[in-house]
Amino acid sequence: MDGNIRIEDLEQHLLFHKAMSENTETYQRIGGYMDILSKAESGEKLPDPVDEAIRSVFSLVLENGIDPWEIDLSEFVRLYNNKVVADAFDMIVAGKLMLMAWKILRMQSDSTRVRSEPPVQDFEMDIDDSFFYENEDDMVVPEVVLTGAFQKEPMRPVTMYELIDAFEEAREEIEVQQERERVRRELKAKEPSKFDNKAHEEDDRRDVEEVWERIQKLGMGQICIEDLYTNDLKENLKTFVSVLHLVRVGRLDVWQETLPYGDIFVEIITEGASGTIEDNTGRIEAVM
Amino acid sequence: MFLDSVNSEMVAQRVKESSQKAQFIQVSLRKVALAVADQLIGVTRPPTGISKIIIQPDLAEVSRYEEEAVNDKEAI
Repeated sequence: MDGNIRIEDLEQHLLFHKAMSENTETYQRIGGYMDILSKAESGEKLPDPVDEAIRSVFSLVLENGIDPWEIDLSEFVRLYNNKVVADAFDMIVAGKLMLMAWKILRMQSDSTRVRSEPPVQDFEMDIDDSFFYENEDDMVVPEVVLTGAFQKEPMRPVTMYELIDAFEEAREEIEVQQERERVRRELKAKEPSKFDNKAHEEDDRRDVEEVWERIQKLGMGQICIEDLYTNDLKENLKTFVSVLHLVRVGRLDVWQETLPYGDIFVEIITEGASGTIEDNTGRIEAVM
Repeated sequence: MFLDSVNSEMVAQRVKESSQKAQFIQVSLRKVALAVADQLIGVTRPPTGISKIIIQPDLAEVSRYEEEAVNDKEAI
């Protein structure tokens, strides 16, 4: 489809209305439009057929003196809005068309103002008291008629189908939102842990002191290591490792009668300890 | 020289995956590594100079028993 085809469409449209015209005035007016249109075909044409059609119609008003109120600018807005939504418009052409539309709107406004102005009254020198009352009957009512060009869509009740559709759209939107949230949580869970979150979690020296205090609270004598265990794996690991440290520094003795499933016992050494934990802190270090 | 906790955990997880096909003995005191071990073998040397060895099979299982015991006690 090219610009010429659209012009032909316009011609066909005018021909149709010319044939349907019921009075001579309309017949002649549409005939004039067709003459103007045939002359306009030889001028510059825009590459886009819709743009060209709009430009041609606007040119009828701007260059050939057609009544600006013959143009329904709201239809132009609707047509061009579709192009903007589809992102299929040339910004330069759109600017030119906007300028033409603005000129037509200005012409419409001017013509409306002219029609609305009351006729100039002859100035009468001999004004008597009945002047205002006498002229009251001559007051001119503006001839402005609001047409569809600047009327808004009237409000109407919402149908049940529309209401159900709206609920359905809202439900789908919620599902999409929930799915996004789920994917976001999954991606967040897959993110590698940051170093600073775990860098200082392990403090062997502090752990050893905590376990040592717990063992001291249980008193002297042998203690089964399971008495020190809890339902927290990390706490139990802390206990197990700390017992090894405490044995190394000579505070505890540890033994296991049967390997590997026998009970592990620990006992506080009261005599013969060779040092304190403070003396050996440099040796309490983790290895890979 | 030792790995930070993040990389230590990654190594432990990798070893855990590979343990389906082979046996591993890993020397470590990092809790992130010990947490995924099937068995813990504790070796320590007291001031007397004679090493002590204790074995704690499946500490995770032990932790679960402790949790069940706590739950049973609360139920009673």
